[in-house]
Amino acid sequence: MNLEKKIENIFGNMSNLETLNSYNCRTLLDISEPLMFAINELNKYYLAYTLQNRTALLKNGNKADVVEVLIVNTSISEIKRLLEGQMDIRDALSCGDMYRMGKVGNKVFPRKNVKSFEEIENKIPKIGVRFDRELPNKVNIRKALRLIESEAKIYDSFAISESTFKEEFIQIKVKKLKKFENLFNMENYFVKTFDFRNEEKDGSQY
Amino acid sequence: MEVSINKIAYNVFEPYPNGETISVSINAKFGASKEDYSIRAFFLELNIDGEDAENGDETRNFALVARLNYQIDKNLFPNIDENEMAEDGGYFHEFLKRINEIVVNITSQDDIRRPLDIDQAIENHKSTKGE
Repeated sequence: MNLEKKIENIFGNMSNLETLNSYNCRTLLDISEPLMFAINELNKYYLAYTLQNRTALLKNGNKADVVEVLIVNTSISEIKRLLEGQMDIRDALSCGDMYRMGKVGNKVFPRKNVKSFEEIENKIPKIGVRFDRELPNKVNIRKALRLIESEAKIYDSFAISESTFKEEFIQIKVKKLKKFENLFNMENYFVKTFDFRNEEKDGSQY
Repeated sequence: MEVSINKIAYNVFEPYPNGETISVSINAKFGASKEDYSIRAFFLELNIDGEDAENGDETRNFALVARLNYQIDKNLFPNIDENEMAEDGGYFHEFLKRINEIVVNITSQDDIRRPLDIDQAIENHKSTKGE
């Protein structure tokens, strides 16, 4: 599952944190609503912050839910510093490559780069706001950090190739639900394969 | 060869749809031990999502994070070359088979829905490798 799809899951499951956790998306900050998340794809980590989550009145008079999320590359060590209150939330959200992604009604707008910090500075916490005792938060942050670190430990003792070794996407359309013993009726089937030898360059670093 | 499951989740949402679109996404990375290159691992994240074919509503999802640990024979494969990469490929195929067994076992608990099955993807992968 690519990062965009994971962000779409945040849009669709703001009120269902258990489902979000299934997608390797852990809530870090929840005040009146979930605001901040740690997301990972294997050993790659990201922070996501809710820039806006509101119902807007459109020009045509209809109402639509508007959700926008900031996404930032990060690392386990940065997440640890953040959750232990050693750095401002604002700094954690501005120290990596920044992207924003949004959804208005049912339409999802693809990820785009944040070109300047001014675009988002009024939508993220002010200087001095940290994960400390003064920050109201429904999330047990110590437990969250422990779980994130525990999950990350499986990668510790290995030199891991930078590129994704295999990425495969299959879309299967099933016309009618039947008993499980029946085979899939595949109408649409697409697989992006990989070549081990392409990864030899990565292997050479070992 | 050892498969470790780090995380597994299967969520089923109601109601049962008349048709379902199933998307499967597999991300995997190769790793070698920092201390001994013959000790290796594949790390895998699998996500399967089901959507109602008519209205696009989420019907079910399955997520799994797993690792395959294995060790190659240093005498047979002293260098990282094409033969050795093929050896790693064999381990990866076996890993996917084991993962598919787990997926089918878990998603077969429901006698109305069919199990999610990535076996066909593996077969297709093998055929592209000329096996």
